Amino acid sequence: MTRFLAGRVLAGLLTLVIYVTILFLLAEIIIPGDYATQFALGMDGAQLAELRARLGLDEPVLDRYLAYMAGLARGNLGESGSGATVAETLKAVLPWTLLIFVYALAVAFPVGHWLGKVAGWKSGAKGSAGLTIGSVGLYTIFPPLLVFLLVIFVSGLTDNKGMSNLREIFNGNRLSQDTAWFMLWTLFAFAVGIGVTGLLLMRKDRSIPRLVWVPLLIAGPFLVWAALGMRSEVRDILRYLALPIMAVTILAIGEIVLVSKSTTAEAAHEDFVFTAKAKGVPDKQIRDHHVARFALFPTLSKLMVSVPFILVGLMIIEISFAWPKDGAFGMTVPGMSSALFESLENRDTAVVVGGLLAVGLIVFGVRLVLDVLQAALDPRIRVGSRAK
Amino acid sequence: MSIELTAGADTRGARRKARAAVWTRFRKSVPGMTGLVLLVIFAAMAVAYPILIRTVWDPNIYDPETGLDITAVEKLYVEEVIDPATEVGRVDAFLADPFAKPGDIVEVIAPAPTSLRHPLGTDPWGHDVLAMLLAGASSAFVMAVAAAITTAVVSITIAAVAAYRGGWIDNALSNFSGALLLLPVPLLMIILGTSTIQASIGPVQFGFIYGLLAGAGAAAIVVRTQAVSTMRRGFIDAARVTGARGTRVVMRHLVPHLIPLAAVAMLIGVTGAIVADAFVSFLAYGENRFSWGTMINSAIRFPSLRGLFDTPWHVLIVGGVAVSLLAASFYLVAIGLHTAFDTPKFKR
Repeated sequence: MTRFLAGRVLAGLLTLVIYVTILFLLAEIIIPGDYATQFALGMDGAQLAELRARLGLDEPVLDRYLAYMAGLARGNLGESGSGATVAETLKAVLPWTLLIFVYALAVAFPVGHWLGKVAGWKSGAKGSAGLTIGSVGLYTIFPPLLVFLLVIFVSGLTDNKGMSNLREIFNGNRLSQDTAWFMLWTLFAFAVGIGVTGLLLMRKDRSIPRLVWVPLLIAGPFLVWAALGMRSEVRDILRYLALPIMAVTILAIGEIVLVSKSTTAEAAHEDFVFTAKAKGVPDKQIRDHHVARFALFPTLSKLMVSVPFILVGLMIIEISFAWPKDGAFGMTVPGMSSALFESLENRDTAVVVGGLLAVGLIVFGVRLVLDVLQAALDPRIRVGSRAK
Repeated sequence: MSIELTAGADTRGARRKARAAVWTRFRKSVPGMTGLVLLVIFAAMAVAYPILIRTVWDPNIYDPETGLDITAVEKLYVEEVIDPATEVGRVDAFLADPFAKPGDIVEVIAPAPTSLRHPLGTDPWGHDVLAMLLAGASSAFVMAVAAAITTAVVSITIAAVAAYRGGWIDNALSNFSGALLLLPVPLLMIILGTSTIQASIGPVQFGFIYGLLAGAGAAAIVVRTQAVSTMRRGFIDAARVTGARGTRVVMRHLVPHLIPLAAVAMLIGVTGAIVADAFVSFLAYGENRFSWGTMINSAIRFPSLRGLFDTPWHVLIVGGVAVSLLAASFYLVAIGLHTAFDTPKFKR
């Protein structure tokens, strides 16, 4: 197991180095000009040269690349043009995006997996095709349209001043960065706790009734936060982030249903299903106890490919809420996308690269955890990798 | 199943039979057929616009950007005017007469209702919505096709080279693809589209760059797995024994087995390209060309000074649904193809 772990981590580090190199080159190519360019009209040549020299922008690409990599190795993501370090900038915005992401996935995965399981088991049925088409619709809906519909729906529900109310709610940001990080970690702990409990119960052939776990998942984190004495924060989260969370959950559920359905349908042809049927095990039990469990890990590993796409969907949703700035929505969702697009406007390449690196790191981290989990639970993978 | 497409059946008749079998299975897939029908409709829309604008439609009325048809005007009492400092006020009054004063009565364009002349009505500026819908279809469709073809070609090339050569080349390519897998390609395309060189990026280039990145990443990994297992099969050795050279082995015996999987991967990949492309123009960065994104943007900006419920719904919903359905149609066809080829080792 140690050898397996070490191998995976080493291979992962190599992947990350290549990833950063690709990012660096792409940023060089696609973002024209540099941080100093935007001041070209206001500053004279000497001032510009001085600014470039201070930020190290005047050195050749290779030197900058090597300096960047050397900095990365020491955990230094570089300096943004505005003076703050990239790490600080990201640290301020990451918890918001991650809060939405983790919460949405924690709700979407069990629900989506359950729907996919039901549809995949009866993959020939009429309703199954309908569910597939519906899930594709959820996954491919143009995020700004989804956001618009959600906003209209919610402001229709709240009736009264509708939008102006919502705008007011979104435009202040009373939560501090540290609180956000703390909330994120408790959310993580909660999600992991639920996951582990689920797996343990599964081993004992029990499961939490659906009517209990769905509300538990949705309300649980808020109850935990409230129990930790963060009532006002909970209220703020509900106000700031409820809509983005809903939007991402809808997007993610579509994809999860699709993946889960196809893996379940594949698993339904395995020999052990045939055996179970021959033994006379009830249909529903084969589905829940034999097939769904078997399909769990293939589902997770296929979803890995979708993780960056769901993250992008989230960022698009964040922007949609805030777009246009003076416009119908005009709500600021604090998060990665606001920082990313702001720095893009300022040609602040270091922050853009840092942001993309953060996305890559999140995907990489999730993948590593899954790899290890899979290897821990399935000896064939450990042995297979050693034999290779 | 994809194996039987060609293996041991190198005669033309057998291949036709295999293809017919795939089509029979595809026809039975409800999602696949739904996607195909949608795709045909979109293709027809993409073709229809240039024809219509050259024959039946008067460009002065139906051009999505410069066309204008004032079928009705609405008298508006100006309560307040736009304050130049804060830009708050009634935008429609401003559009009608920039010099209007509070208390004046101005005439503004009223969106035309559904009629034979304007089947989907017009937007608040007098543009025909159906014409906008059709005009947006061609650029989106061209982009999607460019992205799809590039994805397939790039992924097949990388996979075939990696599997045929093996060794360090395979290792290097696999690591490269693995790293690209971390890259959120749609986000990168949005960044690319919103940075200033976008003026030179047309739909074809956009699709091409997307295809390069997506094809070399996720798609290449999926196709490579299939390529490696195909290389181990007997008929490859048989071909070598009969004296076939490298290029012939690759082109005639390896690549045909990769096409089904690459087709599925490319169709799914296109989904992200469509959303990214529309999103760039939604952010009003792609203003140099008309698209569904610009349509949604104009609709969403319109009420910015009035309030959400004044949004020109029909414009926004038509544009948004068009983008969503085009993306969905590619995905649905991919699902149908997947069922038809029935490649059990298929990974998304």
